[in-house]
Amino acid sequence: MQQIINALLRNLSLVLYLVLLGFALIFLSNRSFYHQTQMYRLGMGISGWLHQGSKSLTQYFELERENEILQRENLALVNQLLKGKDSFAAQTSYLGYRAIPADLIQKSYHSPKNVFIADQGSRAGVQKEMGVIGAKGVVGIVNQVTPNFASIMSLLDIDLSINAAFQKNGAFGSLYWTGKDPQAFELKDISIINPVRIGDTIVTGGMSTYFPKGIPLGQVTAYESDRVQGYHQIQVRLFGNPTVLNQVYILENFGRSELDSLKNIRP
Amino acid sequence: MNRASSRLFARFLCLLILQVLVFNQWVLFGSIFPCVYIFFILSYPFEANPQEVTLVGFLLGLSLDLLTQSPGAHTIATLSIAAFRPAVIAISLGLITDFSSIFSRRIKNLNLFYFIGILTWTHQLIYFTVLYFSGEAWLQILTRSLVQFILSGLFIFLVLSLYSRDDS
Repeated sequence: MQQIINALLRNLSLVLYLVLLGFALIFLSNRSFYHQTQMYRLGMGISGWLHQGSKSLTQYFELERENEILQRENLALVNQLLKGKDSFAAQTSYLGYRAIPADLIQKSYHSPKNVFIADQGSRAGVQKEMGVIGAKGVVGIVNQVTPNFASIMSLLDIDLSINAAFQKNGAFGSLYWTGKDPQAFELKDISIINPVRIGDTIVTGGMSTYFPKGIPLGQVTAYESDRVQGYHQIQVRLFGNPTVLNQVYILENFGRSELDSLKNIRP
Repeated sequence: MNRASSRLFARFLCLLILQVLVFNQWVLFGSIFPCVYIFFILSYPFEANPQEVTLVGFLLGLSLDLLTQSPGAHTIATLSIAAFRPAVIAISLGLITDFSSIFSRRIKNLNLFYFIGILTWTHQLIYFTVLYFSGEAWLQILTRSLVQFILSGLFIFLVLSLYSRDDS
């Protein structure tokens, strides 16, 4: 301890400079949104390179489990193709999207606002506000992009809501993470005129430009009907476990600019 | 407060007010203006404690940022040149110097030019790097810092010429 204090005292000028520089950088990021964003991007770039290095080391040992997940995903796709007319209808609603495959190189699950980092960036065509899906449903929305990496605002973020609907009748609301169990979500804004059963399937509602309609999200596990407010409070358990994700698809919506321009037109 | 400290404090205030009210208003090409306030760091006594100079640099930059509503680039640039100043004194004026400040008549003009030039350009370079904060803007950072360096350098030499140089 004494040696550390002696070393600090020997380099007092440098220590003072670094401390004041830290204060100045905090001051800078608090005063300017541009600098805050740029600092976030810089941090993301550095963290991306670091995690890509460690990922390439550990990837080899996870190959067996990855293969298993891919096999299951393939099987589900083949089954969907074999189902016939109904699944064709579901397939056509995916039209207008292009999927960009990516690997998650950094994941966090322990905070109320979790962020993932994917190894594809603007060079691969990734842009801000693109939806991200995995083998078993929605993963999140891209919120920052550098040439080689993308930061994803994860579904495990208490401030993110996803447009979700009942598969059986299309009644839609907003799906939120409850902030504790990574698979426990809450579906809000469903009017009590819509019947709810435990076990009902919840899918993406298709009312946003992030995700196509009909991507399976989870199942109803419990619900309460608030007669005063006129809405159900529905507990939903996700089909997939977001904490074991590695491979994702970033979705480019070809019609987004057209849809956005329509939204901007005021009567 | 002794006489030397009072004089330094008065210089601090004068340069700060002049920078905010006069020099910051002479904007060329959108964002180029002479940074004359750094004359305070350049003219600070050489024998002063380096930590004191660093702290003074931080306060000077912070005051200017607060008074001009700029994001914080002045603070980082001024703090940095205040911290680098002892190394620049050694490079431009020699490792062992007995000059008390830039007002010493015994400093050769070329050495004085190096001293002011290195610190002024470092300041401008850091200032624009922080302002743009993006690797893609390197050409703008270089060109703007060079133009502002020339403009600031001219004004700093003009201010220096107003002072009488002594034999200290």
